[in-house]
Amino acid sequence: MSRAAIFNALGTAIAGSTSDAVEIITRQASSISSPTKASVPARSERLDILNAALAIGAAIHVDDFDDTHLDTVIHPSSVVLPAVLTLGETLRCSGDEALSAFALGAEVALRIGLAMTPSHYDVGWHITGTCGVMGAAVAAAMLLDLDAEGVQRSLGIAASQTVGTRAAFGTMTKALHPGQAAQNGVLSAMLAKRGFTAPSDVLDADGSFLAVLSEQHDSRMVIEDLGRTWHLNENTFKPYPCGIVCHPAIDAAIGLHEDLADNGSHPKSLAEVQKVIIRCHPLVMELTGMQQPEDGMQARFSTIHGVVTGLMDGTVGLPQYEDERVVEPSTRKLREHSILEINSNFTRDEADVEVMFRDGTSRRRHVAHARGSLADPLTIQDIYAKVDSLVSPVLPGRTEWIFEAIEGLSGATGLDTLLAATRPPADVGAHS
Amino acid sequence: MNGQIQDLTRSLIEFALRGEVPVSIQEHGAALLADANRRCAKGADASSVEIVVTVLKELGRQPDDGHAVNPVGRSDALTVNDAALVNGIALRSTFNGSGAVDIAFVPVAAAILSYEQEPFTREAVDAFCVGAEANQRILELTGETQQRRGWDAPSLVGTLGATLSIARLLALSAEETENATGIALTQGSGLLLAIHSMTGLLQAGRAAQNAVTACLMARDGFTGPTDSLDNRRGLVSTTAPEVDLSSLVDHLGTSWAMANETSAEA
Repeated sequence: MSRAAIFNALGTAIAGSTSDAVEIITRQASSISSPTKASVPARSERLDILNAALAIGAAIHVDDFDDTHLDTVIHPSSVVLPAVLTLGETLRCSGDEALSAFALGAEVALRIGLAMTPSHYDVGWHITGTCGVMGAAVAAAMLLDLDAEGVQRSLGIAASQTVGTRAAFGTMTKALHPGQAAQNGVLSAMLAKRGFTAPSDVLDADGSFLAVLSEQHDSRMVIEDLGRTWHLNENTFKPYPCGIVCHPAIDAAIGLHEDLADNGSHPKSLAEVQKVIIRCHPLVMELTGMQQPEDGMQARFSTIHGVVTGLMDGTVGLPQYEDERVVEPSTRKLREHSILEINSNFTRDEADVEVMFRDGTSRRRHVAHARGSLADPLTIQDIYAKVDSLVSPVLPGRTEWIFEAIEGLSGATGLDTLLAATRPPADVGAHS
Repeated sequence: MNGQIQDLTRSLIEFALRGEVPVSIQEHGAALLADANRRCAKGADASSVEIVVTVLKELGRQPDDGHAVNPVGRSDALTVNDAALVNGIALRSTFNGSGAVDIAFVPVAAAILSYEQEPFTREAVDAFCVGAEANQRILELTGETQQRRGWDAPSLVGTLGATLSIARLLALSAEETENATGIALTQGSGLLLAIHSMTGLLQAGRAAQNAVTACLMARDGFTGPTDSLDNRRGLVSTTAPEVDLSSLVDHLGTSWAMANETSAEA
């Protein structure tokens, strides 16, 4: 699972590396010139470790195309991988050390998240940043080879640097959250290594991290079956670049696109649509209920937009979330004719889309489990195709190199091959 | 309740960017800022500060010559946002775990001191006053609730005033300031549990640092939630959901809560 997660995350990082958010972060970092620098996938600049972690986390998450642990809604790779890549490169860690740090960091973030789910997310925290900082701190502490007391202090420091409320959804700041949490995790472990003091009982005490950040919590979840059950194994990979709760409805829309085109000798035109009804779980309205988004960032929180583009194009990927596409008149018009209808009996990965035409006919698709859910996970071939579609436009011909480099991490003396595979062509020889 | 309130964020930003600061408040603010400068210098040798500066250097945070500033009382060349971090740690270290409201200005002063140290320009004093006022007002409403819930309230929401101060000092537009406030407030953090350790000091420093970083990023086009105080998934709603913020901007500009702040004489 760690290798698949890293592969998927590097794909989304490379696609996100040219986003406005990452451009700004990189520009802001350019005033720092020091000998200690780390790589950012697909970018020629090398940044100080903290800014590199920030940029990588933002790049992984900016398109909302990264991995998701469905029970917690944490995107573990976006927070933990930046810590592993930046410290792994500068400390010259082995492939096995990097893989272990990634798995342990992600597992800690997920377990802390599970202990606070669902109340923590429900009140408004962006759980990827708030719990992710703890995972990033543990991953960094592993790579720094801290002892138990050092790891404990890393967690104590990290607990005071949680990042993110859901107010930021639909803005660049959502992508800042995992990057900043990764940065804070690295800083926490580095401070702990130097003896910086922190509460030692940050997960247990009165006023603990769990108690303060979640009115309802169960601390036993943090350590239950530790070392035997790996919640990271329940990580999933998105087929569409938007909020995960949009996905079952998008599946239905893509299916309907095919149905309408194959309607015997009378293919149905979307110009004849009177109404599109999207029946879905209540969380869809809560998280992605936007009717008329104005740009790609907002559109990622509009199930209606995902459904409409799925109906129109028969596919939903990054092009459907370009700003120009979001405000395109026919897309906007079809969104006007679309409504969300809550069905409390539906599961979170279930949806039903019905297209009603002016002639009184209709077509309907029901999806019991979304593609990419635990019940219908993406295969490694699906993930490869997804990563290839993300990597090829930015770094043509690199997908297989990256895949092989990740496969070869076990036993590798360093991350050089992997990092070289993610560098722009002109820089491949320069730093390897 | 917070979800019913509209335009608090905008009203506060309008005040912060354009509000007139009366002479009596300027004099009071200048005294507070000068006191913060002295305290910061006193705390500059604290072991927590030494560790943070060492780690920043290990992490390669050395700025180009043209972008280097010194934290108060130190000769280290740091970026302006790292200097705010160090100033915040040094300044908070002189307060020994004080309560919610009386150190509301710490992140504001730490951020200002990363741009200016004594003697202060009128612009810096005015910027300090509007940020300190914002923090004093919000903490009078939320501080007790947040402390009861286990938050280090002055650090948690202290980044608000620090952001407004730096936005005024850098002459950001209203739109940039809305974004900056959103970027900074979404990073609000800090546990009461930590305040008697070095991490408690770090919390104040991060509040100042996040404010400076947020302003620089917003000026460069980075976007954040523009309704951060009004948003029902914003920092105040998540950390003090029972608090009604509607009086936050009452008599703003005519009544000054920070006039009651007396730490300069403490």
